[in-house]
Amino acid sequence: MLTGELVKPRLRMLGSQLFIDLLDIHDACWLQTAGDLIALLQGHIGQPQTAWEAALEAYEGERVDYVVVRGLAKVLSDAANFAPLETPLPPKQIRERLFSYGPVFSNAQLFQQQTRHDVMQALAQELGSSAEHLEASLFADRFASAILSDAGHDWTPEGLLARYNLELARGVLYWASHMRIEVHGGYKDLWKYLKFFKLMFWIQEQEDGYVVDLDGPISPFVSATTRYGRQFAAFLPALMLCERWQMVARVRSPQIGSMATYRLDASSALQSHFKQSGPFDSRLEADFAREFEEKFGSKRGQWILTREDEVLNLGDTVMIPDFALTHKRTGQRILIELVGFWHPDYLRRKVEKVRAAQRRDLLLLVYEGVNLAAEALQDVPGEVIYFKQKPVLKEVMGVVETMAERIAK
Amino acid sequence: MERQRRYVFRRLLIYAVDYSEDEVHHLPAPSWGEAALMAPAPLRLGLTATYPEAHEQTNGRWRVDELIGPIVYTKRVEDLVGQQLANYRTQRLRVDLSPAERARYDADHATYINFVRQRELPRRYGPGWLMELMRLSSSDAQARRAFLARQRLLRLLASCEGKFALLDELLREYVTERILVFTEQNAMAYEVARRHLIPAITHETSAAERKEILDGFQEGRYRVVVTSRVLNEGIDVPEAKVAIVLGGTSGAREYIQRLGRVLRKIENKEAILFEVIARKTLEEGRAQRRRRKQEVD
Repeated sequence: MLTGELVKPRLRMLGSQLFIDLLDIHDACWLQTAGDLIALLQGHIGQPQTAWEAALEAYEGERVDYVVVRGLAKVLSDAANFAPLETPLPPKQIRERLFSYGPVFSNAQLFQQQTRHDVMQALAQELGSSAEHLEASLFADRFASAILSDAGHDWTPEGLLARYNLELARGVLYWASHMRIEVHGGYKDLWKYLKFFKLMFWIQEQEDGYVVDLDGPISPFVSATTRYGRQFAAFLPALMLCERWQMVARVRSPQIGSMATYRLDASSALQSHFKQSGPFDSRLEADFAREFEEKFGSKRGQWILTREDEVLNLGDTVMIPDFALTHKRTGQRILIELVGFWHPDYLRRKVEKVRAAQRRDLLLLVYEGVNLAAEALQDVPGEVIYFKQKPVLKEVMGVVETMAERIAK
Repeated sequence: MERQRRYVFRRLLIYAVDYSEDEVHHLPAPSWGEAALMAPAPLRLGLTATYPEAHEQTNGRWRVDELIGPIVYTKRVEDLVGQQLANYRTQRLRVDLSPAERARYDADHATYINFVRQRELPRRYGPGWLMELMRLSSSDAQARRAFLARQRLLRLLASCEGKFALLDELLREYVTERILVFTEQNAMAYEVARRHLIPAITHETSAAERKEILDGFQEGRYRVVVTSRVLNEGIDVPEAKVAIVLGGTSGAREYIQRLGRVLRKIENKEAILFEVIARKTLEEGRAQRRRRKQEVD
């Protein structure tokens, strides 16, 4: 996470709009800098954190763009792994032992016969260690003494610049009071990450997609501001996984201290480093979709199968059924959820959601081996089909037709 | 900081009716000010040994009189000495830079001061001119060099060899006293701790270890403790009767807060505060300015 003083100088205000000076990730000069820093980091693996810090300071030299250099270095440091130095005793115990002699001097005193050298030698001998090792261990629990063990990420110069740009935007969102997102497609991962980061959100349906409102970290309704702020800022790359989207955030610009607006949309140069999940969550779903295409797909059937395109808004949470079947002629829709081989906890939440959704047009396909007692699903308003190996498509389509007729009445 | 802020919040809840705040000089900071503003307390009382200066209460910072109310009572340190506070004396000790240090200092000082004079920063920007220098340094190569020179010379002053040598002498001389050593920077505190094998308290020190060190100091297990800026306020270490400030660059605020550490009255013992500064450097100017200001007050 970039600190305020690394973000602020990269912000510009135009009226009440806030803009970020992003780096051009193809700029030769910045690529050079990024490459240098990556090489510097690689060269310091196995050395203490202080050595890496000192090398950075030397590299920065008299450059006036030190804010960017430091920002890039911070991105590298945050991803890198540092391991504590191994010590003969926990450092705190070493200190307690040694400091009970202090203050010591380089030569013997009336009140302190033992010199510093004597004290160090004596303890080193007792611990079967050397005075040098003891010296290095004295404050080994400080982060400054930690050893850079690996870079933690396989950096390329472009990748580092792109990630730096993203971190600047995250740094701005750290100061948001409210965010509104409009999405019009490819939002499967959005729901996943909204929930993964435990953000507070409300969803409204629109003709062509969804509007999601989020409380930002500095909203008066958020209590754990710092922790929530980190989560909130961390969420941003998920937004970029969507296909068509725009975002507007109200932020208190740290530059001027007043409220400002920060906008982003799908045309932004920012890149996500989150992985887009595959089109299917499981083998089971993929097989189901393929079989449907083969037997009922394209011109043959009356129904079109689509993936996770309908969000059931349950207020503080959402449910996204795996498939939707849309009738070609009437436009009628039946939602299908495959209940596979899940952990009991996940299953319990799933059933709660199904019940909360109160949808007559929801068809559950439940794996028999899942151990979901029939009673658990008894009062569910939709239909339930149990299957052994995989859902029998013919049976499924039969129930779908019955449901469609019943709902149409 | 976050912990302290939470602490203030808790206190605000406790004092929901009577809002009373110690160390009130923190309040002008934006987030602290908001904490005070949101406290549902109709009656408010603030205490501080160092009331913030006018320029510390402007520019996006809160004004104490808006948050708490006007000053209702002041008492000068001098009036308390000998009664509530111990008698004390301050002694300024000067050390020389080594020839090598002197050469480095003079070169950096010239770079820094020539730029500041040439651009007339203090005249044009008033008390906030240092901020302006920092701002300039991200676009102007000369400003950047001046700022780096300033950083280097402050680092050099904070840890020049003469200060270590004098500290060594003082620790040998006051061999029966509990002593608190204050440094300007963390690195210096750890260096002192290392050289003399004495505990250091910095902002990195865990709460548990800090307690262990202060308890040890109280009980006499540790005779000397070195600290960088963290014991400046709020914690009582009444056993200390000798304080050594290896800084010289700190502002009036810290100077008085540090004095407060050694001045808690026990019996009729005289406290001594040594201020160790480097001769013929800007530390002398700072110490001088501070003295003049106190006399004017």
